Amino acid sequence: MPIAAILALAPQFISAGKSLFDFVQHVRETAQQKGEWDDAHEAAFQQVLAAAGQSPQWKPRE
Amino acid sequence: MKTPLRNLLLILSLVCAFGCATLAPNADPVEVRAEQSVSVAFDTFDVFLKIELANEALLKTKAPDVVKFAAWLTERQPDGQPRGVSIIQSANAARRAYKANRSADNKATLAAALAALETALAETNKQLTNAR
Repeated sequence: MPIAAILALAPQFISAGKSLFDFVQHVRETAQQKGEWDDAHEAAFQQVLAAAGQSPQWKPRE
Repeated sequence: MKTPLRNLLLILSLVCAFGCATLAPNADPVEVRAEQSVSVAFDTFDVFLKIELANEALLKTKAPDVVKFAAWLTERQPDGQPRGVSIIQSANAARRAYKANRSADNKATLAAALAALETALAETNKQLTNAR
């Protein structure tokens, strides 16, 4: 799961009255990766990188 | 600037969470580390650049090294991409090559690409701290 998607879960944990520890624990469980980025994950990641080049924060500084 | 500190703590928590995670059976530690590094690097670079851009005027006088590093990270490379994206793409290409063929050469190439990526990541974390 992309980190951005994991971060998006944080407000749910906070509004549910859970602690940062609970959130980190959830991330830890989610992070039991298999070393198996599939094609869909790779395609999504490439889209994120391509979009980064167009985002204001990634523009060259003057 | 409380938001940068909060973001930094969140990123460090996530890095720790990923770093402490157990591997699934049959997972290749090198490949998993590469996946994690590539994912974490993009999010860290992106958060750093957002903070720097939002506070650029202040940082130019208070912490010019932060602005200088942001310029380095966003400088366009021969492939037309910002340096940060280019570093990530290089590591990801090495990861994919290693995944397709776990040869010693590919492993060495991946290790070198990850070292470059993690050096940039460490500097970003340092500059995020300086931006507080």
